[in-house]
Amino acid sequence: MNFSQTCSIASSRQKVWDFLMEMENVSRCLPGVESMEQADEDTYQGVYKVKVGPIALRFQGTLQFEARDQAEWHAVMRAEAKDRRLGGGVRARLEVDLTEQGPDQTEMKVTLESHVLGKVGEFGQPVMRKKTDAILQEFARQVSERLAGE
Amino acid sequence: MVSEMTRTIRLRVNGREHSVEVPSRRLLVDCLRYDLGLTGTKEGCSVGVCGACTVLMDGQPISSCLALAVFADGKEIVTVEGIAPEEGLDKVQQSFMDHGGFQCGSCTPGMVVTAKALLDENPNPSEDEIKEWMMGNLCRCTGYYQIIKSIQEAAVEASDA
Amino acid sequence: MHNFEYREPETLEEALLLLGELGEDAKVVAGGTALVIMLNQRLLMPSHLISLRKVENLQAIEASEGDLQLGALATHRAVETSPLVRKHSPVLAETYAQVATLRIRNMATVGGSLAHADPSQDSPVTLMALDARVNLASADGSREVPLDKFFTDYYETVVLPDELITRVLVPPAAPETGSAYVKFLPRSSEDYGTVGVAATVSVEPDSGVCRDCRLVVGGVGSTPMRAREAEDLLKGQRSTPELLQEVGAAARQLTDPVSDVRGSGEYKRAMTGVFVGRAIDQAWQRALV
Repeated sequence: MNFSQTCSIASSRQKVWDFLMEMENVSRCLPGVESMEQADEDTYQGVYKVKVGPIALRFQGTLQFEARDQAEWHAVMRAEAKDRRLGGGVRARLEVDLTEQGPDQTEMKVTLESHVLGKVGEFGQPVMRKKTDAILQEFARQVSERLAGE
Repeated sequence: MVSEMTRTIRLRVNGREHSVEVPSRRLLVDCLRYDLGLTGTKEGCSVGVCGACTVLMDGQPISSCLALAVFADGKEIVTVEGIAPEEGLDKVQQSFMDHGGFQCGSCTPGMVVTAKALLDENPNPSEDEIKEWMMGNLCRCTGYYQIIKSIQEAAVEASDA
Repeated sequence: MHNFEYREPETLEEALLLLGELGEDAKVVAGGTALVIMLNQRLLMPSHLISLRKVENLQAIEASEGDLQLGALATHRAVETSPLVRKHSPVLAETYAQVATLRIRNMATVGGSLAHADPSQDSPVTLMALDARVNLASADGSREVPLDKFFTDYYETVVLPDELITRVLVPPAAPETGSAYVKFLPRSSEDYGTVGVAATVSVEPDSGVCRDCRLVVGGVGSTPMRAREAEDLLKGQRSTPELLQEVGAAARQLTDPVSDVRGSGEYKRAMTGVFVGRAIDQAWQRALV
């Protein structure tokens, strides 16, 4: 499944970049992160919870920076997580692109490619799609809010 | 304090009273087959679609693969083993034999139980009424025509009697 | 299946108390047809099951002050065969009759089905078109929610964790009104439909002109969809094939269907247009009788 979310943030491109390069900031903007710990320079381990109707999912896995290209204002992250209880998992690739709109205005584009595997994926593609879209929207909103006027 | 994870249920199956201790999670189909030794009822799809697990609860067809055994507490259950009278076979069973209503037999207990419930409620169903009632019971062998015929003939038999 | 404690309260108060005590660890069960599948597949692993099956006064189907009242624990089969329902809202009996199979209808309940909130279900579509309301009880009292405010997302409703559905109330039809529910079922007979449309049309007695109408489409979004903009096109008009096409096209625009095993998004959109036309036509014919 592919998703894309674009938003305008009232902050300079450098500030947005610095904000996103700190995993703590990213995890604070993602609704559902239960824990996130740094394993090494580019890798983090965490637990992510999300509810789909009555079904509670709990993904445990890693998030890794694959590329951080400040010159191009382009970053790539990979995530891989499993829900051991339900038997399923998710593999995702997240790309972030920042475009300068003004000295204090930046456009952030987030592109997500995700594969939901196993039983969790069988449950209902349309539901997963809607959920992921909502999560991405919330992420963009949170980043925007936290950086507003910085 | 009595644990609520198991429960003693009292149910009447094919006219006989039973008292069974079951874990809460026990499905009715498993209770009938394993706790009570009534293996006539089959589990086909486990999601209530195929009808192989059909039993009657208080006279109504249900999917025993979707019912917890505890649901049957205080109820009257009829399985395929309870269709035949004291001696011989019920008209539905005889008719299925006479008119090729089964081949491999997997769907047959469900078919017979469901058909019996139909004729109990509507002794003289039209072909459309038979199809409508039996629609939720799947058969991979016969192509259904012989099943419909068996039920029609059982109805005729009953009305001639 | 994971084991759990099975509790069988005998009154609503007892059930609500249990719900308050056990919170998120407990799941409520009525007919069990949706829940048991999820338990079997270990998608849900509650520590407790609160059964409503023995709670008094939840099963009745009765009339009160003109409203049809369906108890939360009334089975689909009971609604389908009830002489009262057939008289008060025949389209409702017709709708419940089309759900799944006889076996499922003998177990699945009015309330359980609404709580499950699968957007492909039949009954919410018709109930919404009939302006039905849901009564929700909690330890603090009760409230009524109209069906068109009840569903929020796939498998999600406004029911709070400490609330239980007790009954569904269906108001009487306005005079000179016809209703229809049309289910497009291209796959096997026990399945959910690809799209389902409920329509009610009220006419001026002499001219047959549409005075008022309701149009609801199921299976084309994350909740059943009330097609208000399409409804507006009918008011004050006479029934013509062109009008039916126009309304179908308007309804299509409002849908947001996702591609799945029952059809591509495009196909569902196209079928919305077709079946909206058919449902309105049928409802209109019934109004004119």
